[in-house]
Amino acid sequence: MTTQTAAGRATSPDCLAGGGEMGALMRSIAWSQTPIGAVEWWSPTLRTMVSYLLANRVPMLLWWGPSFCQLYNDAFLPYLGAKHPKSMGQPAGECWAENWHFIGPPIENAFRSGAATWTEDMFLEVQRPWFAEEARWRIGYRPVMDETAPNRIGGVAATVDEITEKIISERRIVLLRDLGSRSTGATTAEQAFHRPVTNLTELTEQLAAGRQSLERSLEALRESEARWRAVFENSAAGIAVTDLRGQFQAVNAAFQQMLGYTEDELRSLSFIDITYEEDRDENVSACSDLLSRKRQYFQVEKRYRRKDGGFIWVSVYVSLISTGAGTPRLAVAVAQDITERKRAEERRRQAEEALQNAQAELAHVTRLTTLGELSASIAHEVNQPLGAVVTDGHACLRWLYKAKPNLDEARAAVKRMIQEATHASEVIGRIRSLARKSPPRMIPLDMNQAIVDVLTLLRHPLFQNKVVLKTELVADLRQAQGDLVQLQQVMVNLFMNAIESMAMRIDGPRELIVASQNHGKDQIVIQVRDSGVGLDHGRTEQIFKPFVTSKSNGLGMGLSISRSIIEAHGGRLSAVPNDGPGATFLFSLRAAEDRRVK
Amino acid sequence: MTEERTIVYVVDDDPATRDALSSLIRSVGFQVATFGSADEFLETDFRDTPGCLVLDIRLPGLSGIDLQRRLTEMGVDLPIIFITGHGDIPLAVQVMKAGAVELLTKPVRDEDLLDAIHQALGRDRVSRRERLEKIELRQRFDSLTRRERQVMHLICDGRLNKQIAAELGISEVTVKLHRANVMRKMKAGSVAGLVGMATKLASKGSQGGTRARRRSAIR
Ligand SMILES: Nc1ncnc2c1ncn2[C@@H]1O[C@H](COP(=O)(O)OP(=O)(O)OP(=O)(O)O)[C@@H](O)[C@H]1O
Ligand SMILES: [Mg+2]
Repeated sequence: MTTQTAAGRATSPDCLAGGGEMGALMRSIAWSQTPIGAVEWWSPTLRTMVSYLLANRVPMLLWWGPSFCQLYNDAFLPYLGAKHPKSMGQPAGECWAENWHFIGPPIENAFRSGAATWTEDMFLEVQRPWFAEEARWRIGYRPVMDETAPNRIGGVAATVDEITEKIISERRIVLLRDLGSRSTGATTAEQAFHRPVTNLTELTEQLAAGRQSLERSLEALRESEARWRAVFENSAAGIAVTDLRGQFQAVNAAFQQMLGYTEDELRSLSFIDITYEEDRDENVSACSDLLSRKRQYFQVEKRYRRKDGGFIWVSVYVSLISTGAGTPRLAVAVAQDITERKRAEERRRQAEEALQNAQAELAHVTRLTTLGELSASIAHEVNQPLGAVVTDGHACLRWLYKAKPNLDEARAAVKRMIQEATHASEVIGRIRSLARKSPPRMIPLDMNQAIVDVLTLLRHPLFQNKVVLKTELVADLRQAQGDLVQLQQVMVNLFMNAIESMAMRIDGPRELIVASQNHGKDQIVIQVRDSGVGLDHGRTEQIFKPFVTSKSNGLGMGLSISRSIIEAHGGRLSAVPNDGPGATFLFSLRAAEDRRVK
Repeated sequence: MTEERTIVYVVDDDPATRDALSSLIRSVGFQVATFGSADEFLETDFRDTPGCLVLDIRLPGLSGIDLQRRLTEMGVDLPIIFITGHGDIPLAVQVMKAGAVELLTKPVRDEDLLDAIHQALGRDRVSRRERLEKIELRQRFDSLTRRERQVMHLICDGRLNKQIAAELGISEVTVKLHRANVMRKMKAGSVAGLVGMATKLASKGSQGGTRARRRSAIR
């Protein structure tokens, strides 16, 4: 059908320059024998279109004039198979006769009404057996405007867009590139196309191999897709895919169930919409780290607001979906419902709080009990200074009522009265603070002073039991970090135990030694040593258990409460039998930030 | 009001109470010496000065009651006023039986304390005078010869000269002579006076605390 003429070649116009194999073919065709006539008579639009087509690397095809005379470029060649080279310059109806019912209408439509359309079909497969059914193409049909044409439409241009999975496209590109560069030594595409493949056997083998590898990769793809689907659909974890603004694109059943929304409802929401109000800020900042690539992924524990208004706790793992070199456009979030765990945690926290409250309550009650037992001693401690005040008052009056009042003596008496009244009120203050039920206040404390204060409250029992008291308090004792009332309670317990233990011994000296020391880098230790009945080695731990007592009027709570107080202060309380008579109790406390008493 | 050469001793472990008591007692003109403990007090020379002791029952170390007992044992007849923080009846009975002048409860009323001090000092004066009298009587008694003492005993027993002469196997004239010597040496104006002196010499003294001293005087 194609005839070569000297004239055609001689007058070969610029629009047919280059264009690789198809360019060469076009230049060899006697276009005057075709429906669109000699090249010289082609309209400017047609010339432009043809040179554009030949210069293009994407598959392009042009049907020109009412007979749809067919022109195409090198890139389109693979789709034609055996139709080529006859198909060049051939009317479309002839070339695609077997499929014309399918291809014809969109071409006709574009040509007559000027409407651009596209079809997704597989008509190309007929001639390209190695792509089998897998190939899916979108063919765009666009009318080409031409002023010189009767209805101002010169023809229809077709482009082929591949819509098969990307991997197939990649395989195809590899294959085509391979085909294109069949001849070695070709340094440019142009050269390569000028030296077409000649060894057909080799080509066939290559094509067959290419097809097999494609099938294999498709198989793998199907498998991995199937796996992903299975995970996505059947996972107990909620999985959601969002775009980079956080808008939901796809969610699995578990995710829908967690939130009580359908997939459709979720598509109109972003993850912010379903995040519990208080948890949003943290979540947003983590996301922006992800988008700015500061982090590869992040994991948060947060609450989702359900459609029904309730909330659930989730642990969410979020990462971008990376697609090779390209910029990610999607993110995936995998959410695990941890509501049960959180509730359990909350219950545990509440239980702990209740326990702490109960302990504080108990400590308070036992403090009151102890204070009750000490009431005689306390009364004396208050009565003593008050007695001095009264006596000084009388003395003062007498100094003043003298015929010659002695003002110096009167003044001295008043000064003492003030001092003693202050002292009395301090004692009362100390007792009141022990009796008060106040939340613990951790402050730096001078434990030496605390020891002295507690011992003044115990003067009476010490005296009554004829106990000789010795204090060995180091002057540069570090300040302890603690609650004064609670630590005073511990000391009252230890001192009373020591006194009670010594009272049980009929003979031997009764000696109570209270010592303070710095310990290690940041601790202090208080020692309470008595010469009482002592402890069996086997009993040194047992006595710290609640309700363990050897006293008829004892509750057995003193040491148990004391230990819980010391441990809450980050210290330790323990007992050791003495080498001689009696026992020694020691407790440690954390020092306050490197500050010393005085 | 000022008493010469009397000292009120105050023993209390609480310095404020000590100072207040001292001030009150000084305000009425007494001289005061204060001590923080019984042991401190025992180290001073309190025997030769007239006075009294204001003592806190509750003291560290030797308690007030211990001190009272110790003084008794030492034969020191110093009147004691006890002060206690709380009214403790068995304790009050015990110290009063042991001869305390008074037991006052804190806070002490000034008049109660000052009255008690006056009373104690009065008692001290009396007992000191009695002690002196007895010492003098003893000296007079010691100046009698053996025979004169025998005569004095018999006179005080109410015997007549004749009976005494018969008992001692001497003449009635000699008895009369001895009798005149006894009356002179003992500075007795009458037989009744002599009998009184003899009773005093044999007495155990006004307070239990004088036993030790009396024993040493009779030896
Ligand atoms: N210093 C000590 N020497 C010997 N045994 C001691 C000493 N301190 C405690 N114990 C023993 O440990 C037991 C428990 O002491 P804890 O203070 O817990 O209770 P308690 O003193 O018996 O009663 P309370 O609740 O009134 O304090 C005592 O009964 C006693 O047997
Ligand atoms: Mg106890």
